[in-house]
Amino acid sequence: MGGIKIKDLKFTYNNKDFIFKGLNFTLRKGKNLSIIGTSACGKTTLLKILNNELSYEGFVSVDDIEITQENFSKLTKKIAVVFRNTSFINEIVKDELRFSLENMNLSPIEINESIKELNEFFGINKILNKAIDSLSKNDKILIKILSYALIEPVYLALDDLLCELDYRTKILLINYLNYKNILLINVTTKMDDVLYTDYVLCLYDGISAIDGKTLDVLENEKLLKRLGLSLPFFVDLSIQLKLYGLINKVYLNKEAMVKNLWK
Amino acid sequence: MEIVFNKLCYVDSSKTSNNNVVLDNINLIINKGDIAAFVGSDLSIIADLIMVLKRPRKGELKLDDLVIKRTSHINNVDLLRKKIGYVYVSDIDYRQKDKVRDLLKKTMKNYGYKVDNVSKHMIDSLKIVGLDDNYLSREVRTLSYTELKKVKLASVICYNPEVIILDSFDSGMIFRDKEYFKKLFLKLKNKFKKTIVLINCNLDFLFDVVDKVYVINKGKLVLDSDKDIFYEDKLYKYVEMPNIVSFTKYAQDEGHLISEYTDIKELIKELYRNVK
Repeated sequence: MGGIKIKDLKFTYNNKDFIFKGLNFTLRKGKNLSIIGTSACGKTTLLKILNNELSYEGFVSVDDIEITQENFSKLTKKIAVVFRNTSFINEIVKDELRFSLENMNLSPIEINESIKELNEFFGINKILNKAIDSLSKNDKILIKILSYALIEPVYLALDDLLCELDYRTKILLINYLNYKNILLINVTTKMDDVLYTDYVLCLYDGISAIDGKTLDVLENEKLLKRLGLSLPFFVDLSIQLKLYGLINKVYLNKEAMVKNLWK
Repeated sequence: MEIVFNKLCYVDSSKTSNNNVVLDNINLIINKGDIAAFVGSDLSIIADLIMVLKRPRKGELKLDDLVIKRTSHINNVDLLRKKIGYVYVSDIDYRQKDKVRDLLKKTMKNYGYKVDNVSKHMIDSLKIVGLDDNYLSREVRTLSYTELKKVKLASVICYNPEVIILDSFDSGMIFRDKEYFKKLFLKLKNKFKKTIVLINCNLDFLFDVVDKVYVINKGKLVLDSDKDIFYEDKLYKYVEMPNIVSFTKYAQDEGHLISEYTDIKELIKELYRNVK
């Protein structure tokens, strides 16, 4: 079966206020996921649970491995989570990237090959020998993500980090993850970014407010807006223009939108 | 407070010599009661300079009548900092075991408030940023990213500074929160005459609120304009074009006579008139 399964998940930090009140959700194997929701709805907490950092009630599994302390080592190959406050271990970019690879017991030749491949993808040669502290915010976030992507987990989960990257870097990263068959779990507050994933889980008040295929979820415009979320620009525009009878489907880019509006 | 950058240069000595000039001969004036935005990448240095945490390498920064140069002595810097609030989230906040109450109390005591008045002030400040008094007993490290930002803003509002500087304030916020804070900033400006400086924010957060936009690229001030800049191509040489601007420009290039908007509802009305 595989994928991610969450059954009747309950969690509280203080034995009083429940962040999750019986969350149920299934992500089929081979699919990317966006996690969205209101402020403080448990997006980061869910990633902490997937990262095996918190004890919870219920059942959560990644590729049929239940998230428990006993399965810690099996799970590290399945899922890697990068948080906003994840810190760097090394001072120099190259050392940080090598550190991840050395932990996988790769030979120096294999390590050099991996870094060469990264450079071909991202053009990071000019920053490899730089101090991480001296990098731009964009490069820092990229290196932070890449140091986890290099482990080549089945799932790479990002805690609202993709939206901090500039458009070019973001696209390169998405392409790299696809090339490496790494599935993305993207916690995001930037609604345009949900279009990069196949499925969406929208959290609200401890449960799933709505989940499913990305466009199906986004077409529930009223619910999402009631929760205080926006829609990706082209989805929002399409839905409103459909209401006015000016178009008859959702278009996801300016070229298709203009062509079909003024046909 | 009027803020003037006069031939200001800042060099980051921790960086290599080919990219260490962070600000190069910057001349600009932020008027009292304006909402000004700095657009570019990694501009947190602006806040550090205004807070007098760092000094210009060359040129000067003027905060009202006070001139700050590389070596000038400043009497009572604490009094100056009481007039300026800086809202940002650091890695340390994620490990902060203090309760929100302690954080706010500490800030207010630092700025000379009497303890008797502290409670009401704290609750009022939280209310202004949209949080209730239950947050007073929450540990800072248990807050979400957005809650943390709101608490940090409350910790600034509670000592009532003249200038509020916000770094990357909108990142991680959902639409509803962004709209709430746009309205709050306009209220702080219009009703309380606060000067607000927004750094490293996304353009869609700035559209409706800013009076002045300063674009800094490779250390140089390349654009200095009012909010009309959002419709101009020259801005998008330096920053990513928002979808709404990109769409209208593309439609115009394809020969369709539509106006430019930064509000989707207005755009839809225009499209209805234009296409129908």
